[in-house]
Amino acid sequence: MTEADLIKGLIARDSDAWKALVEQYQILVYNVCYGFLQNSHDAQDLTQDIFIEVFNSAHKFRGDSKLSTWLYRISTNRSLNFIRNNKKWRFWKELSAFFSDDEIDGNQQSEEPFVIDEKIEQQERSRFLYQAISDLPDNQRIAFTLHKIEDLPYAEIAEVMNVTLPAVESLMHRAKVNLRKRLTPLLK
Amino acid sequence: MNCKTFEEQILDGIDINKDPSGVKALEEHLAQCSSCSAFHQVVQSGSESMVSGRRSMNDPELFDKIQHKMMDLEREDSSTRKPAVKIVRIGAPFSMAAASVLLGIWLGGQILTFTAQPAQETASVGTTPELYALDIHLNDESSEFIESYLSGN
Ligand SMILES: [Zn+2]
Repeated sequence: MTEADLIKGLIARDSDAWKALVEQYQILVYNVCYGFLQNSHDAQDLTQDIFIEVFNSAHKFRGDSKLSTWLYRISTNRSLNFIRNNKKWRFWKELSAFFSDDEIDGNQQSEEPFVIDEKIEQQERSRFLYQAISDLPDNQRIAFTLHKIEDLPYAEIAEVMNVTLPAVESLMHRAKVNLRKRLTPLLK
Repeated sequence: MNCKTFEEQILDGIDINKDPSGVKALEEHLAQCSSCSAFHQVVQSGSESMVSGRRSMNDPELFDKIQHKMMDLEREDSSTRKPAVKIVRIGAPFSMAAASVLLGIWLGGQILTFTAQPAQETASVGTTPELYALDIHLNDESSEFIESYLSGN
């Protein structure tokens, strides 16, 4: 099914088109959600909600951008809304991260203590980056996540965010300056 | 080059294919700078961890799950929407009626209390408004207005 046929089918609420859309784009949608949420269960749930929203609002698709760009945009917006609307979400995420540390301790009792310490340290280190990205202003966070995690080129990010190419360059520059500012003190 | 430049390179994700000499300079710097080395580890392990849960294969059941969820949502919507509307429709007139009844009882009580007082007692209320205020347990602007009105009369 070509993209044009797919769009036509979605607007006509054709279930074959909808199924094709889910098959073709579920990895994209899931990975964008996962990139922002860093939680597979939430990303899975949100992916389902996004496809329902797409099905219900396909008639709003103007067709002036690629379907993938539209899906990137919806997935990004919905992920940030999810984080904003679930104030408790951050708390529970941090709590589960805390318990997952315990799991590592429990599962790997046979390992030498210094190996466990090193693993915990590595986990903490890996959380520093996500935390620092989460603290960025939304626009910088979107640009940085789409570029570094989704591997999208600046031109496509500009389309997703509906801004100019220099604006994306500026957002990326400011994101990197802010990340350096946030990460460097944590390492001292 | 200073640490700031190396940190920027680390965040940019320097590409060994595009800039082999840059990579060599970075590796040499990391070997002797503990701060940049820690920064590199955080960015590297953080990036790896952030992409580790990404999917590369379809969930074959996703379409069915979405359809079920959609049906559940429609069912929920139809079972909750109508009563909610009814509550709103019944709720507004009901609460207005209840408020009117309560206000009526309160005003009636006030009139009865006021008219049932002997002349002397009424006068004493007028001279000690603070006691009157304590008696009706109101302490907002309206009670102050009523108080001043009563004490003025
Ligand atoms: Zn350095």
